[in-house]
Amino acid sequence: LLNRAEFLVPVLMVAVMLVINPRLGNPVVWERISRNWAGVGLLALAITPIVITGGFDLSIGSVVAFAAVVNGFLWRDLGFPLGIALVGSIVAGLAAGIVNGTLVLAGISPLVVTLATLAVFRGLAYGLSGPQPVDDFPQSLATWWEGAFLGLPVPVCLFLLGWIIIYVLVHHTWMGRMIFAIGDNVQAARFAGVPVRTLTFGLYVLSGLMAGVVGLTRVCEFRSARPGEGESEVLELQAVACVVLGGVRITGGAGQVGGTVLGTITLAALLEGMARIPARWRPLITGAFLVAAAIVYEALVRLRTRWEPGAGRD
Amino acid sequence: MGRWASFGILVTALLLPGSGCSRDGAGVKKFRMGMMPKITGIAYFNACEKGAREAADELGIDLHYDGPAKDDIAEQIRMLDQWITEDYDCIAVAPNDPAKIGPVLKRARDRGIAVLTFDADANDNRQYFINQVTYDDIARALVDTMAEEIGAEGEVGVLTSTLQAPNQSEWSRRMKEYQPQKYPKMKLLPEIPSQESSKIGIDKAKDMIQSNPNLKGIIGLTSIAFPAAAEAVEQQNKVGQIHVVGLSTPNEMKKYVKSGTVKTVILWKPVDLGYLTVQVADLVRKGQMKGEGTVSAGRLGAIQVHHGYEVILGPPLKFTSANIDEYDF
Repeated sequence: LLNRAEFLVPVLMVAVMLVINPRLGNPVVWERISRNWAGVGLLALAITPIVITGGFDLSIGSVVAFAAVVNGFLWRDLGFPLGIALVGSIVAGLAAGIVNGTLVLAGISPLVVTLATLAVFRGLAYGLSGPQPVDDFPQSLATWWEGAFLGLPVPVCLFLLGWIIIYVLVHHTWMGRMIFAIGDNVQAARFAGVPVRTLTFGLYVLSGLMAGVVGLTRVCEFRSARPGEGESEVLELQAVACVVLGGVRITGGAGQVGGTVLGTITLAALLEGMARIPARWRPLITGAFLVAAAIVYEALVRLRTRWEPGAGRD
Repeated sequence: MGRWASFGILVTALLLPGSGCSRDGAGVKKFRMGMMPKITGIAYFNACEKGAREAADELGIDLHYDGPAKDDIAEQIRMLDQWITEDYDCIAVAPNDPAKIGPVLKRARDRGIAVLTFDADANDNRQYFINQVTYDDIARALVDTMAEEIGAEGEVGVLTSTLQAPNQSEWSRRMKEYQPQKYPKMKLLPEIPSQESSKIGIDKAKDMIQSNPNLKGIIGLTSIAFPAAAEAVEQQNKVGQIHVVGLSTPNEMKKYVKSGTVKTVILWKPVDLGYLTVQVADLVRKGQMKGEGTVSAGRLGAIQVHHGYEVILGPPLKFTSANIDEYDF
């Protein structure tokens, strides 16, 4: 029962926003919101398994910009065909993930590693981009991004694909069980024969790869490879906020992929519902909601350990 | 849980004064206008807001003035997408990118919202562009003033915002066309971007001074770049040898005009630009706007409209040590 109770928090918050701003109830509004938030959702999904293992990836926002810039660099400066440049974005994300994973395996705290690579990949993005960012990708990219597939907006299709992959990985494979085991107690997992190092490395690579895909989508959306991509909205923090709002325990060991999805919808409803609030006040409100959610989740965890000792690792 | 939910409602409700449908006493729906600067929290756009509010009060318009905290086109698009789903009657925006703003402006027009641009134009999908001064007038004023100060001879550097910025690139292009005809002994160096950051601007201006020993002047094209150039000239002890001319607000430049580093500041009145934008919105609402000729815009009187869409505020103003204290924006 309490398992499901966690989902009540985001649902309730969305309900609050619906009361405050009834326009959020209009499905037409959500077409646009889903297009604008699919990228954030993918990043939140990407870091969900890492957070469950007790790790962190703060670098994803910078990796998005890095991957976008690599695309522009390959296409404009090195003259590769656009198709190869697009694949280059994904490879760049993958490479960033390998760097993160390797450093984490070297024994440095994931928070420190990805805080450092947050700066490194942002710096690489600015350096590689030069004084004049690539700004003239063909219109066909934006047309594709604005289009639909099987009646759903293309960004939503990508998000659903990411959801399925992460959901199956976390909740329906032996790796998923090991991910929870690592988050619960690394030492115990190690003694139980869990390949902690391989798995951890793999999750950072996956996260980098997904950030690379988001970088590619940003190129399509804005038809430019902007080194400052994601900086003003602070993408990495939005992704973390989605995960927290979705009830994934930030210290690891507990959480559900569906929670992250709900958390993304909640953050989207929160920020989009505040259209009439001056932009300078919005971070304050977002922060208040985050704190409120964190308190409720903490209370739920305590209740559960009181009622059924040993539970809470779903 | 209920307690926290009600806390959330409370916080949000407190900060939502304008939510719901605004109606005046008679029960008639008020004209709702959203106005978005390139960036918030800088003197220039605060002055625009002041003028916009003045006109909104005069005309009984419900005005929402807000924009991104960074001069970022992506943020502007996201915010405009939100505004489109609110029932605005008119949206006026100062776009950070004239091409990328296009699709979102089209979405607004498709929903029957009147779309204006002010301060900087979009390539299409707007009904009217409220322009401060024609590009030619600004370019000429900058080059003429610089020529006057340095004796129409020598190398002049240009410090801009970014190379894509629509206004700055138009002004640069026209300066480069005008200067060789009128002052053949002057030479304009290629523009250097300052990314609208004072720190980067000062560094770039210092580079410019050090790498061009014959530099006679610097033209600063924004309210960030101009004081940055003046600051660099002071820090390098080049006051009197390198002249600084540019576009900025009097308040940003008073310090440098008083110290003698800067002789002339060129600008229009941003307060009037904001005022005119809301006046034009009102004229559009009443169906009194025209594509060519003059229209009457409140206290500004007769205002010129050209090319079917371009509304011109007027000629540029010059601020010198003689008059700069009369202005406060």
